Amino acid sequence: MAKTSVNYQCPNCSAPLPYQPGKEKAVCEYCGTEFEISVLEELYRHAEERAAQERAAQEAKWDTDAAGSEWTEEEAAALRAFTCSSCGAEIVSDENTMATECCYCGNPTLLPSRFAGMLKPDYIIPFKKTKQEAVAALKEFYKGKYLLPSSFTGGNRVEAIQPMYVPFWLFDAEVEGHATFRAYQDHVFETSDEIITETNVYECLRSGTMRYERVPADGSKKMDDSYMDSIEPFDFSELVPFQATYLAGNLADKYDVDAEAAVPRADMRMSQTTVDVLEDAVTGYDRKEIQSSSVIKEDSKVAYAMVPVWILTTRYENRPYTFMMNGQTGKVVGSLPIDEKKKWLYPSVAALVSIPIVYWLAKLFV
Amino acid sequence: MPLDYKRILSALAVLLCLLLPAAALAAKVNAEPGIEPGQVVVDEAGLLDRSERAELARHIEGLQEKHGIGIAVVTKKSLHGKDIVKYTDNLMNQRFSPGQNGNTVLLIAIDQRDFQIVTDAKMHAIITNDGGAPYLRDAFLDDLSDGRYQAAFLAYADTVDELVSYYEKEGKPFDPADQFSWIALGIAVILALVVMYGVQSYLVSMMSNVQPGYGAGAYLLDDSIRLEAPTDTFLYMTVTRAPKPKESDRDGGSDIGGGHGGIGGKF
Ligand SMILES: [Zn+2]
Ligand SMILES: [Zn+2]
Repeated sequence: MAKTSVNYQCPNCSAPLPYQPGKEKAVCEYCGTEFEISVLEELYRHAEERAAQERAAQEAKWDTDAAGSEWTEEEAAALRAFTCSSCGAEIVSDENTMATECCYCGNPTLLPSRFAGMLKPDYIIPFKKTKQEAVAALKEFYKGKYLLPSSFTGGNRVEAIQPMYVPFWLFDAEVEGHATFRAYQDHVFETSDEIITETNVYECLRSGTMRYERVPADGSKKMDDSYMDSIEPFDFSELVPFQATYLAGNLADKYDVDAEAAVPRADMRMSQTTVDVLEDAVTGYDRKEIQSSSVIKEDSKVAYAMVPVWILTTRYENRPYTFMMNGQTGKVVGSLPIDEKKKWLYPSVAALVSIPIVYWLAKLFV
Repeated sequence: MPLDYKRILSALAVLLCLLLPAAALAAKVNAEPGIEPGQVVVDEAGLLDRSERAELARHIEGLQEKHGIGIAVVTKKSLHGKDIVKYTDNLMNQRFSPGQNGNTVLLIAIDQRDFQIVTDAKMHAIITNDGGAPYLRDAFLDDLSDGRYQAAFLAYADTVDELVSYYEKEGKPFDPADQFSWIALGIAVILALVVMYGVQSYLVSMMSNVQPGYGAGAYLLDDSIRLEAPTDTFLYMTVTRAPKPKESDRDGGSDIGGGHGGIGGKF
């Protein structure tokens, strides 16, 4: 059925572009750009397709129910739970390991509580780095940090260092990505008194499928998401099926972000990379910008895994500083305190030194 | 009695023959009027009134005496296509070389809005191509462009005075590269602040390696990527026109032969 009154939008300036029946071209009254009607019809059709793809993307759900499993009675009996009276963190350990202080806030009062409400992980990456390695790595981390207060390393001792298994949801999916880009090609030429730039504007559609495996999203609210992102990557090829014996002597964080709640972060990260891949396929233009995209996941799967993290806490001027080391790769992440004097002194010295040099250079041009 | 056309015609012819050379002579006299010895302002284009001319001449004569140099300002309605550099140089050589310590002439051709300064060898050593010449031009060009001729000519004479005084005092020609520049200092201070900000940002950024993750590139199986054939549709073309930046005539002076120098341009 032919549409009786289609009002297109000008693709250049978004002004209404009235449809003139029987004509092959339309001219925007506002910006004066000329369009083929057939091109406008195609744009319109692409936009409708994209809307359908977006609906499909929203309908595709992760199957989060399959992640994790129930503990056997025997296993559950051997586990203990502790709740921090100060920050509310819930920590799990085996019956032989006592959690002495909260690894998040340093509070020494941990109340035993009934172990419940936590699924059995599917996989685990066992600790590969020792306590000594963690302490040495932190010392190494201090090196070359010019703004570190001298008293920080001087009187500094690591107050607490604890091995912790952090819960992660791992998302596998085959995704189908669609993205629309606006791409520009400039032709510049000069007359005797003008520089004329002709810009050809194209609509570029890119589609493709690709597979992601084990995109991680941590299941702990207590663990800062940025810290957990920064501690990546883990080598998930070293995942082994979970056994309760791995918990012996270690603590585990009880997840408080379930798989369903972790979905948006995993979705976002996959969409970002999928769109980047599609954008890389737009070549031969001077500039490009994204108009719209939709990423549909198929054949998706979620697993529940524990990954090893050393948590090191130290205090400086009555503030706790927390560092984390990837217990598999040894990568340390953290934020160090900044010496306010040094923060201004060093850049000022650099500025003062640069003034005569820049003055001399500037003199060559003015 | 019939008119004797032949006689009248021949009389007219004789008359014409007599008048034409006279007219040509008159034109020649108009184009190159006699310049009195010692005259320093020749305003053929009539850009100045009588009192301005007198004031300018008095001022220039004072400067000539002070330094033992020659300064002259000549305005012309047109050069009729003659080469302005050669013309002005010849004019200086023939008419305006009273100074023992150097001579310079500023010539204006009003029809083409051309100006030209020439300097003899001695003055060229004082007003150098890259040093004094552009400085001298910049001192009067704005006034000249805006039609403030008297101000422009006074600025020309005063700047020659300034450059010669500098040479007498320092023993070397004026060179802006030797001068303190507030602009350069301003640029240096601004860039130093940028350096400061950059160094500080860098040092602060070293203190933390905590940042939110972006994308899932590390978990993408590279050989799983299957792209469909691209669809690229031409939509439309836009045209933007920008006026070309005017060719800058802000370069220095040049050698014009025989050790002489010059600087000129449009105003
Ligand atoms: Zn428009
Ligand atoms: Zn706590």
